[in-house]
Amino acid sequence: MTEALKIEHLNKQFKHFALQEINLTVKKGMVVGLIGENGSGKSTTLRCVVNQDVPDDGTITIFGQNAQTDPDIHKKLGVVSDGSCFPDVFSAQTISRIMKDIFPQWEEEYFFGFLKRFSVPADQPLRQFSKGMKAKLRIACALAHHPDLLLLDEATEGLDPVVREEILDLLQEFMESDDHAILMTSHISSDLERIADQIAYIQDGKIRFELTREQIDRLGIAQLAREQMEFIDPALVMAVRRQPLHTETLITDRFEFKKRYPDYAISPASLDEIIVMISKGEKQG
Amino acid sequence: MKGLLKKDFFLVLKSWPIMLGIFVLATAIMVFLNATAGILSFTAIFFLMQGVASIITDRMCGWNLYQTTFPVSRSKAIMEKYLFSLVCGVIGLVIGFLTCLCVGWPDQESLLVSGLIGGILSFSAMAAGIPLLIALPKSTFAAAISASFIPGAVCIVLWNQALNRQSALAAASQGAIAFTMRTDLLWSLLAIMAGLCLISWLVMPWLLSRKDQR
Repeated sequence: MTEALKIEHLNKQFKHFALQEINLTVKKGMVVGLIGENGSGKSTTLRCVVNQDVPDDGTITIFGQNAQTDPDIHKKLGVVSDGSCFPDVFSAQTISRIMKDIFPQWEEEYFFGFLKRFSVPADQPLRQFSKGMKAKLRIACALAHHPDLLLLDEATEGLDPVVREEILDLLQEFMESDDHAILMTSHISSDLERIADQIAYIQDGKIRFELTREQIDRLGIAQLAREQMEFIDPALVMAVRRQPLHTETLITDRFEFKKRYPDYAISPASLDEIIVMISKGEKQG
Repeated sequence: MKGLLKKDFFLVLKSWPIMLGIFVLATAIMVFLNATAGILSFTAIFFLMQGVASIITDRMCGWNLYQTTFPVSRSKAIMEKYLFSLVCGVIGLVIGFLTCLCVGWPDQESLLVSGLIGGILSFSAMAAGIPLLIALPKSTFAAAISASFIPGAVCIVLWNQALNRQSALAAASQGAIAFTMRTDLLWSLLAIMAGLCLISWLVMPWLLSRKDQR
């Protein structure tokens, strides 16, 4: 079993929105980033995985077990969302006392060690916590039962760069085990660029494209004049965006492009540029 | 389920000063009005409602969504609310009984009537309140709590009408027919409410777990 999470033919209809034929696989040892605009269906997909939203159609398996019919598989799952999830009157100590009766593998020593490492007070009520402290606490709760799969829904949103950096370091530590996997949604493309091995772009409830780290690293942006465009091999062009003075072109292999057209300028494509080019561009190879 | 029960108990324990204040105030009012039997029904309902109202806290703080990530099925998590509310109600009944002992023992019939009314309203709040608070939007919490007492209130109205009829009969018979508090009817209504609660406990978790959780 190499798949940590497998979503097949997931459909979910709402009044003004629908998830359509979502197929997504997160293999062990991989970090998959699910990106898209607000309301594109990222969080809804995660909500279906944990059965908060009941899918109309399709199957979701976690380590080969049906996630909808077998909640026991959630022992292997750690979830971090951007919203609060504990009553404000609780302290981290109280939360640990509760969680050890929910997750059989809950390790108090790890939990309090984590809080100490990130300077999160264990005895204060949550209402006295900053946003960053609450985010770290949520991550501590997701990790203290030693899950194999992490689902992160905008887990770093609204946090300052220092805290975000700490959290990303932590996720990289988590990924040191080959059996672990992460599916994360984020608006912060730099976070995903740093840790994701694969990106899936979702738009209007459909997955528009998936790219591996290797594919992303090969993509490039060339700004070409109209007449230059005529010389470019169409097989190298993934998408174009016509601007008043030039044509912005997303190139599938910037190294090959550089070799074949040494006089044309090309730069590595950032994740933001890739998303804009593919979602708003004219041509898709 | 043990962890979920523990969380709800911790939550109730955190609000003990407020609960104690309300309990003392209500007890003082009932002693002042010479209606000490009422303490029994009040305490049972008041404690049971702590269990039912924990759903509101869960939804306000996001716990209801978070708990779907636990290795506990959604239907079991809903069943836990019934169990927790019932345990709270029983604790309330015991505390109410002990308080009645302390503040002055009312007559046995009054105490029985109070206990039965408390039971009817408590089962009603459980049977209707738990599913309504889970299923309805957050903005309708007050309406959901009020609506949860409607089946119990209907029972009390029926019993009250029966009492009025019996009172009229007793008056017309000039003492040939003795007036009673119709506790037999209250027992029947309690059994109906308990049955309704049991049906809700068995059916609603299954139904609600098939709906999207918001």
